[in-house]
Amino acid sequence: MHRIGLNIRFWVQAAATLLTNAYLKGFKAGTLYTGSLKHVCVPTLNCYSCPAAMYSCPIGALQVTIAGAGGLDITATQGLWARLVAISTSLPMLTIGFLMLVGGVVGRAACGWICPFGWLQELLNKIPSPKFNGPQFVKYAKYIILIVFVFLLPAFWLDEFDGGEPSFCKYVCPAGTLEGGLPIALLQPQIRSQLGWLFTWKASMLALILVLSVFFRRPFCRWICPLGAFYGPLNRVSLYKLEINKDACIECGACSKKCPVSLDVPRQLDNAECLRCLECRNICPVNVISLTGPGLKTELLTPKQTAEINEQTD
Amino acid sequence: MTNPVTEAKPVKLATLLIIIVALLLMFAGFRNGEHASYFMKAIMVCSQCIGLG
Repeated sequence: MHRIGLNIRFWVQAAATLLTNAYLKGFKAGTLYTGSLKHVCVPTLNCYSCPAAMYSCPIGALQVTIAGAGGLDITATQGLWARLVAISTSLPMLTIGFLMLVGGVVGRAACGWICPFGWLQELLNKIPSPKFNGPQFVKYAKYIILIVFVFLLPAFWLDEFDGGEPSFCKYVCPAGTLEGGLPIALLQPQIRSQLGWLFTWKASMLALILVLSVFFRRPFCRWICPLGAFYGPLNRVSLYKLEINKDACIECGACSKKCPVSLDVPRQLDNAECLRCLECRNICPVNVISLTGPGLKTELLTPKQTAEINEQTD
Repeated sequence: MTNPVTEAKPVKLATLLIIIVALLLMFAGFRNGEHASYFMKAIMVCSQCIGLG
C-alpha cells in the first residue's frame, strides 16, 4: 500500500466536515446540539456555536477553561496573585493533553485531513487566479496569536465580574463567524438585531481570509491558526513522520508545486508548517518520500536504485 | 527497477515522553471535570464566537 489515491483526502475532508457537523436539523431550528458528545473536542478548529456542531472546539475549550479559572467565586480571582493561583489550579489539562496526544502521534495531520476550515480554503484556492506565497515571516504570527489570544488574554484580561473571556473566539476566529455567527444571525432574528461593530469586524476578517484563500494557499492555517501553532512544533517528534531520500531526489519540483502550504518540500519536509497531507508523497515520480512510523516500513532505495534513477534523469 | 529495501525506525524517547505526558494530562483533566466546564459553554450559543460580544 504505497500510494494513496489523490482524491481520498478530498473525500476524507468532506466526510470529516459532515461528521463533525452532523446535527443538520440545527440549521432548520436555529438551535444547538446539546447532547453528551459535546463533552468531547474534535482535533480541529470547529465552532461549537455552529448549529450543526456535534463536538466541542479545542481552542474554545482551552480559552473557556482558562477564562473560567476560579469559578463563580469572585474573591478567588481578585488581584494578580490570586488570579495566577486560580489559573494554576484549573489549567486546561484535558484539552492540552488531547492536543499533545494528537500532535505527538500524527503531527499536523488533523489540519491536512479533517479540518473543515482548512478544506474550505483549499477549495477556494482551486479557483483559477494568480497564486502567491506571501512573506515567510508572517507564519510566526500564529504563535503570537496562540500565546496572546488563547492563553494570556483569557487569563488576565478580566471583565467586571473578574472573569476572562475567549478572546480568540471573540476577536479573531473566522471559522466561528462562518460556522456559528452567520447561521445564528440568519436563523435567530433576536440575535441578528443585536449585532454591532464586533460582528462587522469578524465578518470583515472572514471575508478577507476567504478572498486571500483564492490567491494564497491556506492563509489562515499558515499565518493565524493557533491550533496549527500548537501542532506544528510536534511535527518534528511525532510518531508518524515523512522522510525523503535526498540522494535519489531528482529535484523536479513536483512535490513543492503540489504542497498545499507552499513548502520547498525536499528542504522543508516535516517542518512545523507541513500538514502531513501526503500530496508530496503521492506526486513524487521517483517515490523518494515515505511515511514512517509504527506498523509502517521506511522505504529506502538501495544505492543501485538511486544510481538507476540518476542515470535515467541525466 | 527492483522493489526498495525496507527498514523499521525506532521510536524516539521524546516522542514517547510527549505521548505519556499527554495521557497523564488527559487523565488529570478528566478527573478535574474539565470536560463538564466546556460542555456547559458548548451547548449554549457563545455570544463571543458569533460576534455579539
